Amino acid sequence: MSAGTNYLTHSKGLKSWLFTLDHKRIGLLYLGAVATFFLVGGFFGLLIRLELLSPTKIFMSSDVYNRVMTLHGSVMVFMVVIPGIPAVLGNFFLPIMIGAKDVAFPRLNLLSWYLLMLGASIAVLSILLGGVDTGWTFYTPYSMKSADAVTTIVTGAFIMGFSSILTGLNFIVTIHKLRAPGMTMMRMPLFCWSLYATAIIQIVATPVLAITLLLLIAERVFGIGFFDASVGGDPVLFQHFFWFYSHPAVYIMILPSMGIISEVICTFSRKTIFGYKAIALSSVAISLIGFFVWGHHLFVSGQSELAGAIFAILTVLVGVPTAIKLFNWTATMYQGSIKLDTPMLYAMSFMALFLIGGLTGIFLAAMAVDVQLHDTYFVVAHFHYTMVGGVFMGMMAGLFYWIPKMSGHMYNEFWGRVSAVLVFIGFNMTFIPQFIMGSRGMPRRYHLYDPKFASFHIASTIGSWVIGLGFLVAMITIFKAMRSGKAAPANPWGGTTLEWTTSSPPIHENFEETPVITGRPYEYN
Amino acid sequence: MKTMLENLFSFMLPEQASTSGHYTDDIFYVLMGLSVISFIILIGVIIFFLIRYKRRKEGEKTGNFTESHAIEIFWIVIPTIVFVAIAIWGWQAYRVLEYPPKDAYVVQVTAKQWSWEFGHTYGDKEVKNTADLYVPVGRPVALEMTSLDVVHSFFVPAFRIKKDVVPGMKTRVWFEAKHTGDFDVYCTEFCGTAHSRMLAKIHVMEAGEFDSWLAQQASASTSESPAVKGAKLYESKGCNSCHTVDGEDDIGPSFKGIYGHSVKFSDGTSLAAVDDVYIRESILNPKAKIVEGYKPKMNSFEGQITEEEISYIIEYIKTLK
Repeated sequence: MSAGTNYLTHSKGLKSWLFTLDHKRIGLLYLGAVATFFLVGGFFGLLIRLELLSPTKIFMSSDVYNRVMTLHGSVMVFMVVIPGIPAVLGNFFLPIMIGAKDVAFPRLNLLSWYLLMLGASIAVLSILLGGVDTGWTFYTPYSMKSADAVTTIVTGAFIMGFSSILTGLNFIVTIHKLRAPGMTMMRMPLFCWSLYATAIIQIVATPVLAITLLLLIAERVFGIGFFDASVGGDPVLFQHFFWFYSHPAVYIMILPSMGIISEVICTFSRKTIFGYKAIALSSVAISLIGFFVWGHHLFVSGQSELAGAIFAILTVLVGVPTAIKLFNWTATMYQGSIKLDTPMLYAMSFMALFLIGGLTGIFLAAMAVDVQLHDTYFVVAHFHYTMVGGVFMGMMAGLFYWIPKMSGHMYNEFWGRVSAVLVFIGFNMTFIPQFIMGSRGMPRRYHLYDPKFASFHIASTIGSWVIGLGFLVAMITIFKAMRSGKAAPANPWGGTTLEWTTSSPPIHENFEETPVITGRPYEYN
Repeated sequence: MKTMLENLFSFMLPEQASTSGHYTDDIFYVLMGLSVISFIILIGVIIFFLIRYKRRKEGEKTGNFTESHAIEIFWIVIPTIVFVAIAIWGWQAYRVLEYPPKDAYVVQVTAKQWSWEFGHTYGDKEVKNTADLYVPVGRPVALEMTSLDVVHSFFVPAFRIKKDVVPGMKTRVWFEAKHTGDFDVYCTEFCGTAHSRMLAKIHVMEAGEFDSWLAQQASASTSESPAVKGAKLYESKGCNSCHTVDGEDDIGPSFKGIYGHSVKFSDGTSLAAVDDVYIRESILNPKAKIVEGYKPKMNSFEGQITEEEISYIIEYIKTLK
């Protein structure tokens, strides 16, 4: 390597990117892909809100509405929030944060990106084949009888699942085998712990989704009869299979975000994390308990009362490690030296929004209350508070936190803060009305609705424009910082984890010399 | 306390009109109260810290209070107890909603894309096909539900009840209305194109009024003309979910003026004049001939409609000039 080059200038040309084995470049490839998918998914979301401005049809037929609604959900879940943090920021920073040169299997890492792109292309192909109108959950038997493109999109999701499994595998081996000398498990930054917990779920749960989707395809193509009651199958069985993956999957989404929040709060408070062990182990606890709560999606689906009761209790138990994290983050700020830069603003936004998401989750775990709220806009608002308020706020905090390291340029602080404030205001404007209309009885996935809910829908739609504007400002600010802006020093925030000991941007090998770790992270004084 | 919470948060819930609805509402209001208090405390502390510990100069020393088992055990144990208590409370209330009283009046509910059918028993007769559900006030009503095609869900916000309606399975839900009136029924499990139009109303009537309504239905009002009967079937069988009678386009072709007129099909063939045979086929085997410009959305009504009923619908369509 010639002196003065970094991972961006190490080699040139399109080929050097498409065949790169550098985890940092693969991270950027994922960033490009996920940002594109996010624009697509967000566009569909705004279309939904626009159509719902009126209780009657504005510009979409019910069939088109149902397709757009399905696309918004599938793109956001399978192509944005699941790969989002682990594949982009995890890929880039996990090896650096544990003092490694790369992930354990760089070729597998590149393959994972190609699998995501292949799966995504096949999923997008389903739009050209007439679209899918089942919702992202593909519930049988509707998904058996619905449009032909169901097989296509499900095949896409199946392939994207392998991308997720391989990434998880790669991270677990990386964490176990490639930590620098002195980097014991209990000295790892908490972001790495959260990726470790995430990887467990990716490896154990995603194959169940793969099998379920395979059964669905077999059912559609050969009419085998796993789920179709008319030939002796069981429609509810599909829901059990589906949520056995898809509930743990929400922890695939949220855990890495929680990891980022730990990093950002420590750095911007200049404080050691309060209760390192509790936060590290609560991630693992969430991922393990998270496997046994799927039945709370089925309280009104015709599962037994006993099953419901067991799932309800396990569900509230998964709230305990989550609550611990919120308390510990708050305690971390005590006697700190707090700076409210953009990453910290997004982290505070996370605290408020995710708290609401968590509290409303308790409503849904109380079975009798869930009976009223299930499949209404209350649920829609609840999971947006966890998925956007939780996952996206963490992702934005992480992107602004690390973009100086990734690109070597500082972002524009003013516009960064503007984006955080806009997204926060717009988000609450959009989803607080949804809580109210939901508990008042407005069902989800309704193209046409009772005019008595119109004022809530109008407020919600106006809020969606503010969110859209906020994210647009954020994306432009980040995009500009990718290419230009004030040169970033190696450690702009005064962070203590290993990525801040490398140059910005890092060299191809990450470190000039393998670092030796002698203490715990987050020692500021 | 209870009424205070109710006054504060009643805007969150719709009118409540069933005898068991308060079980749900009680938990809901208490959870709202607890949530708002926890939110204010935690966010209040965070905002206080943000102000109190604002960075005044770079590199300033910070506290080193980073571990306290006592505090951590405290905030592990307290949420655990509160959360589990809430889960058990929710479960106990659910038990009330789940098991209908033995003396409940039973109605058979059949869901299909995209309509509800309610079946009453009167003596040895079956009274069926009402798109709207008529029930007596002050008497437990149990619904035994099944679906003919995909999963649907029966939701009555005012009664705080919801249950999926699953093909090949009998699910059950019950309520006892506190007062008379009309209440909305929504389908809440996504079921395709007209999911958002799969609505019904529950008409809660005085007991005497209900009995005479049922008796009248059972005696099969022979005095009505076939076309009038057909008009009722048009609504009760859910034809109106997809076919208008005013010429307006919808999921399927409008019934207005089709009888006796020519029609073109998507396979290029056509029919010189819509007649009884064609209408009968369109009801029993709707995918055989698809009118140009429409999609094969309709499922067969085979086994769900009698020949007599088909003839009434044909008479009704004839009147739609």
